[in-house]
Amino acid sequence: MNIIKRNNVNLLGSGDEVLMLSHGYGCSQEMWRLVSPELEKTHRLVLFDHMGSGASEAAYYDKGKYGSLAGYADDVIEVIEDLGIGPVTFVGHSVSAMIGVSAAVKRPDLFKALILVTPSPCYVNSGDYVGGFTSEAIEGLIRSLESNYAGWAEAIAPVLTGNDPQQGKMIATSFCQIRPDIAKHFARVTFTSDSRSELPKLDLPTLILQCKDDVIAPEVVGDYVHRQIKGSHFVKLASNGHCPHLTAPTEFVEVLRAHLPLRA
Amino acid sequence: MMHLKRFIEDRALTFELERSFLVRSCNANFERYLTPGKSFHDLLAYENSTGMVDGLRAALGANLEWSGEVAFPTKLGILYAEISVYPTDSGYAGIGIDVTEQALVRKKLLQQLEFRDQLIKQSPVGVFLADKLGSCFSVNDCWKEMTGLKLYEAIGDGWLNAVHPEDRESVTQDWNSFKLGELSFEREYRYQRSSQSTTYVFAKAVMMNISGVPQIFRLENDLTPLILRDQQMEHQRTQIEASARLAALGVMASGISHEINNPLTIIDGMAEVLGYELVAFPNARPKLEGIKRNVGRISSIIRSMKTLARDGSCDELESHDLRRICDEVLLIAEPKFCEHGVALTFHCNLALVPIRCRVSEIEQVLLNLLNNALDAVQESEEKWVKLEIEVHPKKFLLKVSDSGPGIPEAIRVSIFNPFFTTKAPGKGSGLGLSISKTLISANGAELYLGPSGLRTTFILDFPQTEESP
Repeated sequence: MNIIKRNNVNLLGSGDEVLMLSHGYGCSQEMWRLVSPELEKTHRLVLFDHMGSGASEAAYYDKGKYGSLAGYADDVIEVIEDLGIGPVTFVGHSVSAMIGVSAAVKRPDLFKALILVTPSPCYVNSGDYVGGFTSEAIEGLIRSLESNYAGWAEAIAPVLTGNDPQQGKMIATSFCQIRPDIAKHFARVTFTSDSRSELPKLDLPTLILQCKDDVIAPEVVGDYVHRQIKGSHFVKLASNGHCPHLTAPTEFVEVLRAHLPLRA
Repeated sequence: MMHLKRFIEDRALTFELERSFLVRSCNANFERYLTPGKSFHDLLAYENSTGMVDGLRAALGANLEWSGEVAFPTKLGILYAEISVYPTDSGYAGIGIDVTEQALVRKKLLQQLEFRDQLIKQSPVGVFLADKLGSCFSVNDCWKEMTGLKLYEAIGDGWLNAVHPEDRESVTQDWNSFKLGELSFEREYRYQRSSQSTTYVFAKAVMMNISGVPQIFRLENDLTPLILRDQQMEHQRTQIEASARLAALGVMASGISHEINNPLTIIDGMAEVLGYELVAFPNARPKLEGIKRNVGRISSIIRSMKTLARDGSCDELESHDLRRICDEVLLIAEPKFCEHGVALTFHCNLALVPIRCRVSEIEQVLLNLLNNALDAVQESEEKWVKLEIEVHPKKFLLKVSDSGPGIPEAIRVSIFNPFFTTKAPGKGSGLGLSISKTLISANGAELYLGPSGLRTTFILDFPQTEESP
């Protein structure tokens, strides 16, 4: 099946400037619903679901291919190529930020700029690097997810949305819509990934958006990403949590508008 | 617990690794596959993506468990296993299960799908895929080439924008009927790649069930080469017919000129004689001069008809006076213009305008342009057609302008195309300008449309010859 159908690709808006919105772990393109109506007024939007998430064709989930973020990055490249729509400005949330970095390092010709929303190249502390989690904490997080996925989703949702109950409920629902075996596998791939070596290879205009009190990707991590990507812009948002496009959509859109089109 | 123990004994693959990834120990199930001396990392180097292996090393390096599906080359063939590897005090330990059978089935299915996708991609026929609601989600390279669209422009109903404006409404209706299951979709229509390029297609759509999901496959065959060939043949046929008519006219003109020139010579001679005999009657002189002038005019018309009807396509280009050619054509055209009340003027500052050409072809083109101009001014309040010769560096421009409504911007690019006409059916073949352009090119000159504006001006652009002033 063609990638457009397989990854439930949808186009909104019009215009020469293309924003490709890429959701994070456990989510789907629905997560952009509060910002896309504004953004589509001025930009052509490409929305899609990562394989195994949302309304993608999960039958195509191949544990070999999706055993690393590179498999997801290859899908991003395939979507842009198949649509014939590049170069795009890629907006990647959370794990998708690093998926975008990986894709842009592999095929810079398809990307105009990157907007990394609450990114983390590595969640685990390692030597001098502070990822925000000890290995025990990550292992505990994954184990709790593997043993009681629904319970884990309920517990983590308010943390991600800065204690916004309405958006928390929505994100928990989204988590529960993923096939549990895929959710568990994707979680392990996400939380054990280490993309730090990719960051210095990126040579595109990049904007990094950092939330306050983000326990998944704390400010120290955002600052690390900023220092590793030459010429990147680092913007600290007023919003709490890990999902500013859900909890502070107005601020999110304003910041994007203020920085687009991104220049080096 | 007995069952679990038996399951582990029979099916589970267990192993312990050194930090260096050398296999320290494993159970009998795993041992069956192992080649002595191969490290676990060597095994992983086969078929598994670099990203996945890096992920595994990163996880273990961070003291985290890693799980996933891996492929190992073994002495018994490829082993696909779902494994979990976790750090221990002295190295790593792992447990897994053989999933080769399922993995091979899945890979075979994916290979078949990949094969099908490649067939569609490489197909020399346009392939258009839509969901059951008729919303396009994929097209192949051939389709993109035929329509000039990229996939993002074709997606959903975007493809309809590429359908020729004259076909769009009927194609939309037929497509909607097909989606509703009312009618089949099997028809010809056109795509407009740009204002100058049209693709003719024959399309047939079928509803198919792919893995339980209804989808529409539409195959489109590019008929453009066939249509263009037919048009070319029709063009040639019309040219042959026109040539035949001109040849017949030529034969007739020769006969007429022979039959008329003799009595004309006699009339001219007698008028001359009468001039001498009626020298005593001065009032008769202007009348006799009128007779001689009109005899000369009849001779010129007959000469022009003979030249015009002659097929000169095989003649060499020769030096001629463009001003004289215009005079000859005006002689033939003037009566018709007078009859319709259209002022026909000719302006040229030069006494001689030398060009190299085949006279009969230039006359045909000029007469055609004048006839078109005459038609164009019929509805205008002021009716005039103007011929003028301008001298430019290295070229002479013969301009034919009229007071008609002008040519709309949208059709300016198509006006020299074969069969293009704005005249009512039966009034024009649409070949005049196309043939004229071809004839003028064959004479080493150019025919084109002047700048857009209120009036229409056709320009014949002749290079100056060495004899030119």
